[in-house]
Amino acid sequence: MKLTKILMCALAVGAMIFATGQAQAKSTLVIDGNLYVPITVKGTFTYVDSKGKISTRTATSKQIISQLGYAKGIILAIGPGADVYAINNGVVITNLSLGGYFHVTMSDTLDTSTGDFPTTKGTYSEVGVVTLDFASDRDLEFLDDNTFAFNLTGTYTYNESDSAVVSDLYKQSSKFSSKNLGGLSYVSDVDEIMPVSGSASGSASGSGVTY
Amino acid sequence: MRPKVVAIILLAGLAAVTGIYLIKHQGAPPPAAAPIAITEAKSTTPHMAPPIANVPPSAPAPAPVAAAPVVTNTLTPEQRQAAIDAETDRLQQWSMNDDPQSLSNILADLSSPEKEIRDAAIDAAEQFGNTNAIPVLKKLAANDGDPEEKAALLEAAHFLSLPSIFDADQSITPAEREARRQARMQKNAGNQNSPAPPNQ
Repeated sequence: MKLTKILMCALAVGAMIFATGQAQAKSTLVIDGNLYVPITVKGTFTYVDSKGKISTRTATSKQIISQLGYAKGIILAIGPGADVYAINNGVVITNLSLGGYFHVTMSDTLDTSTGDFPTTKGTYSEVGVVTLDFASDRDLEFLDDNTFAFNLTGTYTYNESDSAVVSDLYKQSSKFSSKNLGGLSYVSDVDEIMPVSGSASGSASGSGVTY
Repeated sequence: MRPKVVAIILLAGLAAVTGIYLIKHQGAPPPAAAPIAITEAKSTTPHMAPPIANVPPSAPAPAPVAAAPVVTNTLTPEQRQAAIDAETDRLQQWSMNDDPQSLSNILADLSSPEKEIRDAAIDAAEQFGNTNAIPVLKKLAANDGDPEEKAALLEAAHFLSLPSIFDADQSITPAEREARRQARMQKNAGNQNSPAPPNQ
């Protein structure tokens, strides 16, 4: 065997080890047997600026986290009970829904499934109407009682695939998407109730989910 | 070449590659960033994108985007999906950071051969919120043959070009804002306590 072929073999083995390691990296999104699906939210706000002109500004979930006073690196995720959580590297920081800050309410209109989960692997899909309510000062009734608040509504799609359950554990993959959200918002810096459009999405996958 | 020499060279090669692998993964914070080209046995034509040149002037320059290490070993569909999921998880985390390396990682993934990763990278670029991503997004859009993805890239560039709502200057003093807030809260409290209208 020529030297170059030998080295190529060695490199191929190394590349396989590398790729497998990448693929099998442990997910930090399965916490205490529950899959947390990170969500990203973005919004575009329209208001009348100090010069009397219609102006457009934006906000992201990163800024929402910042508004709540959390450090960089913390992410928003939907977890058990469809509540919204602040999580960081496999640790739940707080339940924002329980605290009255953030609610995501999905109302399932149509759904379909395949397979025979939990005996076999299965898939589940649903579409419906979702509402995202956020209030930095926990007043979801009156937006303008908060420093920052919004209420967004629109349609969504949710897709889930599950492996067969073995020893009460299975692998779950979830994907959520909602475009063309619309609603009202308030930011104290602007001090007006403003229309807002936006979108929200998220996906996650992890093994070791408890059935 | 003698079999002993062949064996020694093979072992040395394996040791070197394993060593590199271990160094790369030991205590490394979020794994480094070049996009992963995940090739299944039935490979499709890879998505071609121009090289990325991202240099944020306002922040320390991110590490240059390395050429994607094209891993051409055969993966099962499950392994491929696992690699995609792992990368989208990392993108999610990078998007919440503020450092040049995270931005560099996100921009590199905009050219991933995997559509799922590219889509996640567009979202991550928006969330990261650095205007230095705009020229990269526009450049990729100009060379993208997929109209849907092109639109997403341009939309992301436009989103990043808009100022944040939290930077809105309405020329209201903090005292004025607080006074208005108090007035509103009183009004809202009044509305809440007012008797319900009689049923029709």
